[in-house]
Amino acid sequence: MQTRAIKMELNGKACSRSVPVNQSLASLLREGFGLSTSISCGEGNCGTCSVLMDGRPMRSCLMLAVQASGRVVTTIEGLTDELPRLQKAFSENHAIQCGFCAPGFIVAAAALMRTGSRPSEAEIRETIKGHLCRCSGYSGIVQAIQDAATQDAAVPDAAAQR
Amino acid sequence: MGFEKPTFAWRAPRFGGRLNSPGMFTYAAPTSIEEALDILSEWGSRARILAGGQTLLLLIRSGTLRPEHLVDINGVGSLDFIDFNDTLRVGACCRQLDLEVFLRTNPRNSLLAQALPLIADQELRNRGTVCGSLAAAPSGAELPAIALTCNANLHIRNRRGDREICATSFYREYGTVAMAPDEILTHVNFEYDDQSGTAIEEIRYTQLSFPACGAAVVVDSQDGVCRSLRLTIFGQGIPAQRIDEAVSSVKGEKPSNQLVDELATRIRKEVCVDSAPGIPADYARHVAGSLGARAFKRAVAQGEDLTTRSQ
Repeated sequence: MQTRAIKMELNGKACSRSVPVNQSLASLLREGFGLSTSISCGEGNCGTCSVLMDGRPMRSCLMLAVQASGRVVTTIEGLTDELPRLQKAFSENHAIQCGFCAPGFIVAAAALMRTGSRPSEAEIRETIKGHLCRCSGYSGIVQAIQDAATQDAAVPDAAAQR
Repeated sequence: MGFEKPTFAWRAPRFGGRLNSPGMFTYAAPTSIEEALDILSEWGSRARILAGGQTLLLLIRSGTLRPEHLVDINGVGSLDFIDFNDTLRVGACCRQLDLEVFLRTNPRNSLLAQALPLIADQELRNRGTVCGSLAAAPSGAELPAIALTCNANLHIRNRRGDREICATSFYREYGTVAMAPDEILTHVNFEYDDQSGTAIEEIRYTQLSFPACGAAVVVDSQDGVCRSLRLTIFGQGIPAQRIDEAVSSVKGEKPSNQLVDELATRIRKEVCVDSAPGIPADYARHVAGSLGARAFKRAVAQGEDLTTRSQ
């Protein structure tokens, strides 16, 4: 099996590794680095494996690990700014039951929050339409993302008032 | 003597990794088109071009395709561009979301601008390329249908030189494309359609699935009379196809409800459908007529809106 040495910035840390060329990025993140990126369908339908690559959310199951070479990859563990707010909002809105889909939802939500807008319900539903949750339902998740993003947007306002 | 340990790298074993993994390929990442073409001519049909990979990796994953070599063109910097002089030129590595964002601020092709947000979801568009979708032409994809409707020109390069081919010749019967294994689709040209009424209509079973059926329309009308009309039907089990005979009855006429109904009936007669799982051919044919007529109606309304605004 052909392998290749890759170097990437993973969750803020530079790391290098030799990977088989047919390994998916999702598999590398989960099995190689022990991160909590979930792998479910492996076909881009469920969204559990979403990660940020150069700041843009993408499915890591439909990407080769070698393609991450030279890129900045952020998984749920690397979302230091957004994660506490999202965790709190998800917990308060009962948006998590088994938690399998959560890494994907939270990465997608964080990418939306980073745009700095106050997203409407329609925008949130558009953002998470490729993510499947089979137990808690979507209303709580949409509400949680809205809460987290509104808190987010409230911060600059408060700073401006001071 | 020992056997090489099978690699389950492509899918974690506990999710049903298979011994005979379909993802057994070698990989090359050329940095120039010439280098990529050399590799392609060496490997021929055993190699595949990897751009966004949102179609290709899926086909490999499901075992439908078993390429021996992947040629990753993401490192070829000269292929990632959007350019607009007299036409809108989109390079092979341009992501669908990049073009969508570009068209929001530079309205150059309203049909394309309407169609891009309908494709899958933002994350798949963030990775998937425009040209990848055009070249792979998965059944039900919007972009090949848009290229057919807009008469887009596809630029293809091989080691012997360049050629330009219109989408109507590029897409052949049974969903095949006129491109050899040693060729690269380097960029695609879309004409501006600022003066035309455009619309796309589709019906899909889930938000993320390919449309079961869809219709794209570009219509030019003058003084309320329809001067030219291009209509494409596509969908799962329906190879993207231009409906040319049915639309000839509409040319030179003033759009009325009766004309729209007649158009729907003619489309149902002309459209060529295969059956796809869960989409019976009769149903697809019926829906094709209805969607075609609905898209025509909406495009005419949009065209009139444009003329009144420009006056």
